[in-house]
Amino acid sequence: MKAPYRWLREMTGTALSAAELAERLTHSGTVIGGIEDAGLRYRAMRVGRVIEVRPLGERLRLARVAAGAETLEVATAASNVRAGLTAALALPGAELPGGRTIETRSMAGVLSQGMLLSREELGLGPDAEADRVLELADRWEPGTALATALELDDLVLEAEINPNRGDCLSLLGLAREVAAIGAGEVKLPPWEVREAGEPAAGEARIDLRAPGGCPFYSARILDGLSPGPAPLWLAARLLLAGVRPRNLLVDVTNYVLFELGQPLHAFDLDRLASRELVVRFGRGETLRTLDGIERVLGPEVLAICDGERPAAVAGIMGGEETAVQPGTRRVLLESAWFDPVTIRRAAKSLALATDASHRFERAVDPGGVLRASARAARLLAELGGARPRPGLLTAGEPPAPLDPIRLRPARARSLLGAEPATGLDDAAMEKALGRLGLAVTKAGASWTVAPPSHRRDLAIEEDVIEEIARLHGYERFPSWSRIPRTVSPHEGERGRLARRLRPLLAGAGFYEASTVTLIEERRAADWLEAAGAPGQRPLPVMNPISEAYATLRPALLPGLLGSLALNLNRRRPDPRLFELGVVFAPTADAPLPDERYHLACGVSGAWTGPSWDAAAREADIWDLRGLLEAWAGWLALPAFAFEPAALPLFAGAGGWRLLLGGEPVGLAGEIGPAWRERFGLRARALCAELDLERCLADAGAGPRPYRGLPRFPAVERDIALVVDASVAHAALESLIREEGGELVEAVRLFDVYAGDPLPPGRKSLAYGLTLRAADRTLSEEDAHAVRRRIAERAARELGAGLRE
Amino acid sequence: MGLQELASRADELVRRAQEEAGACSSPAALDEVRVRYLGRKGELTSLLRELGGLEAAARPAAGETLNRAKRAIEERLLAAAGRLGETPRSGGGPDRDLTLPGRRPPLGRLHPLTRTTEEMLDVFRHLGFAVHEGPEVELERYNFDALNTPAWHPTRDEHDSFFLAPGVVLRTHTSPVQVRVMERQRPPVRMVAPGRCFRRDNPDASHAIGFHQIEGLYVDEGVTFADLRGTLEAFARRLLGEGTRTRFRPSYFPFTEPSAEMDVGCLVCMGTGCRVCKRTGWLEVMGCGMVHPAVLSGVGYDPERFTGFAFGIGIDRICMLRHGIDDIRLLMDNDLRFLEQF
Repeated sequence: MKAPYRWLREMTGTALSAAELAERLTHSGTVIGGIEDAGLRYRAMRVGRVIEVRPLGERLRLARVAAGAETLEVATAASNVRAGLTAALALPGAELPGGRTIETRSMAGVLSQGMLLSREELGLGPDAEADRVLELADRWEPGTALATALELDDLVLEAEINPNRGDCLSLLGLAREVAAIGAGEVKLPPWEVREAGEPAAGEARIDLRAPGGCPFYSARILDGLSPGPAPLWLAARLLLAGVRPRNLLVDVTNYVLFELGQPLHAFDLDRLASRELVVRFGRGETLRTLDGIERVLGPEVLAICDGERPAAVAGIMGGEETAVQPGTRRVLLESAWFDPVTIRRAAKSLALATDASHRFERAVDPGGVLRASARAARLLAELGGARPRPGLLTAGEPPAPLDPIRLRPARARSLLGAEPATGLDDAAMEKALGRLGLAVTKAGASWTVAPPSHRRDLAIEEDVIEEIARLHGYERFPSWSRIPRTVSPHEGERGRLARRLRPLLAGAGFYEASTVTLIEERRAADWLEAAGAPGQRPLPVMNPISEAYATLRPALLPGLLGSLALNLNRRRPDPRLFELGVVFAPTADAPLPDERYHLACGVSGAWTGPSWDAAAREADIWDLRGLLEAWAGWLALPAFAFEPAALPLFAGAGGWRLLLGGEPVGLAGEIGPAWRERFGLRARALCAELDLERCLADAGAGPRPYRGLPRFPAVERDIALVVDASVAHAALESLIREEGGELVEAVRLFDVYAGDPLPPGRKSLAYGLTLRAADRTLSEEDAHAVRRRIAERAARELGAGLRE
Repeated sequence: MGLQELASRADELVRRAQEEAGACSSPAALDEVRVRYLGRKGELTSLLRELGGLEAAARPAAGETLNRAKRAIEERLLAAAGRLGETPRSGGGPDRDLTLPGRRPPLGRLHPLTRTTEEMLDVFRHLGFAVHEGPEVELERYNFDALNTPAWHPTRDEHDSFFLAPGVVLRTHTSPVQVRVMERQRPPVRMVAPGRCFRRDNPDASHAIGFHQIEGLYVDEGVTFADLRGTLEAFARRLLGEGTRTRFRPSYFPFTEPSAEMDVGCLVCMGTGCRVCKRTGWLEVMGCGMVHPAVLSGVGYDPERFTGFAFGIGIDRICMLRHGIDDIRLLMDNDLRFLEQF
């Protein structure tokens, strides 16, 4: 809401400057987000006086114009340029409201050093005749800043009005706030009307069929309006308030909207199809509104009909058919109180928001509906010679002010933590309430406070307490922090795990990423297919902002691989990223989707190096697997396993499903060439994703039990077994552990070899064993016996031979 | 000679070789040690020859023992050679270049949003606040209605929501966690809840698809506006520095009454006025207020007995201010050249 300072000063008589007002209002809850010096828009525009005019060509004339110290020559085609005329002059460099910049130009062989401006060119609306420049009063000295002469050299306060304070969306509303902080007094503009002619009642009738949507409707009839533009002062104020002036009638309704906050609508009485105005909800009819758009009025849209057909969308925008025109002489002026929710629903369904709907949605002052109508009639009479016809056409009743509210001053003080030094005694409270226009009735410790009709946001005691507090000044209340009762130091599971995991992942060289929760639907579907969940459907949002952000992510990797690709494309070598975040899956019967906390990581390029003495080594799936094994150990996940998986994602490369207690909890591997291309990855990449929610359930949460330190030394033995290429390491390892029993403390695979001198189809796996007994030092014979038993069983069960 | 004796002799050789290698001061001396133990007539070599004298069954174990000893001696020699600058690729000779950089293991970093969030949470943990979590997809009931924001309330204009289904939204703020926690427990409730939220804004330098908030709530008997001020001022000073200035201004949220906005002295210009603070010297950092009685009674708390305050802090903005980041989209881009800086 833009509030021109002089207008606000006129309505309050405030002695404060614009900057002071902004500061004080902001601190009492009406945020002034900025102050614009509107005069700056009219830099390089002056008052000019025409000294002489001589013809230049068929239509063009050259005017010599005095503009203070200098005299300029300006070409013009306007009909009213004459010697002695005081006019608006744009100097070279001036920028017109439309964005056009004035320059010195050569025209018909002479140099035109500027431009004489019309009303329209200044953004003040069309003049009565088109080919005229704006004529200014002769009292203005040539050279005066044009903004001064037009009263456009004002400061405009940008008020940010909270949604509950619809009453502040006008100069009157802001004036009330100025009065509330004690910086002025509200001065209502005159609104008494001198009526004349036949009673209005004979001209039209109102049939209010939707009293829920429109509790109160009023109309006034005016005739004898002479067409033409609004006076400059009014047009200038509208321009400062951010509205383009058009003609007197439209400008006056807009002026009253900004002045008093009540939207008005003017119908051209002679263009109404019927003199019976019906207020009802739409039935699917179409109406071309003032913006030229054909709109369908459904049952949630309230319409004002002239007889059977809709003529206006109530509270939002009028129809083209019945709109006033520059030549309109007879007017039906509507002023109504529409139900806020009704207007909001209609505006939403039409996707149409206007200055009027914005105010009706936030409730206008029921006590101000008729005042606004009278004020507009008075202005039209004064400025356009209109004759307001006696009487009003009305239907329904404006809603009553809200019920009085109980206020306990003691409760107010205790909620606010007020101390004696705060100065919030009963008298201070009463004063604050009085300035707000809230009538106080005292009955001991419990008061009754009656809100005025414009305050439809005051319903409960706390609302009133806020009013008192904000006028007293939030900064005057004490500040302390007593934390008297202990609260158990609960910590969310996810957060706790994340705090443990993050440093671990960063320690392995991974940077933490944060990717977008909403992803492209195709990418989500692709992912589900690639990761082997083709039956699962993506979860699209109903009203996406664009296709790129249309679906809740089913996993972190689609986004994270995108980030990996971005880094590769930007030539950042060897990217390593991880992310912890929420992913989504559909649920069968719960209203909300299943949210799971996942860990994902991706890596491309070097795993180690390069350094000055070693070449880089590219990461492969064993690096990835080793890392995951280490992490699983760190998390104390008991039964964490890798199951080779033929997922499309890994086709042509290799990867695993991650299992926990036999249940799938994730995947890990190298992305195959096909999917690498689909994810836009220009290099080989490894990735893994893990459902932490499942891991949380299984992770060793409590303190880990202590095991006594070994008292006897360990014996190291190596064993190299030659087996068929098809025999898996896992089978050998479990055989070793089983056969070795308690004596086997650790088994470490240190070599895998195939080739000469081994026969084709055979391979050698070499293990280092750490053997230890809890109760004695193992002898050479013990160790040798274990090794022999393992070799024999491997030979028996897996066809293994010993390699010496 | 038995297996046991063989093993102890091998161990002895390893011990001696280590000692001698350690005492060497030149590569030539080291070479002599190598010959003494591993050469053709070396001590270990001759021990190996004695294997033939053992009975067949004991041979494999004995062989392994000696091989292990041989490897151990080789390792010791190699280590000593390294000490003498003899390893082929370690920077060359006695005059090694000690200005060479070390071999650095890769080390990642935490996301700046994580760091900011964790620092904020730490302050609240110290102030006795529990940390809770809530779903990112919410029932409209929790996101709006239970927070005194019925359908068709104009405040919803600032909360343009993504819908998953009728009545199901991507939460537009972390405030629904307040309600979920209060539904589960009786006062005192003192909690914060960090998390991701969504509004239907077109992405630009100050709007991302998804942003982050920390919600806070303290409800008990006798909680006052002074507690709100004191707690949040303490938070601001702990997070931003002891000298941080704060101020409270009236504001509006449907679920608090009275409502306030907390500003802190501009972190960029220190209050003298700059572009970031729009020349006011102040930055708006959080909305707060006393919990609206309708919210309390909605979860079965008696608003006459219990009062409380609530607040919501935008994490992204604070993170950007702390680091001087001027485009919020950088936070979700994951460009390593950006992430490496924190």
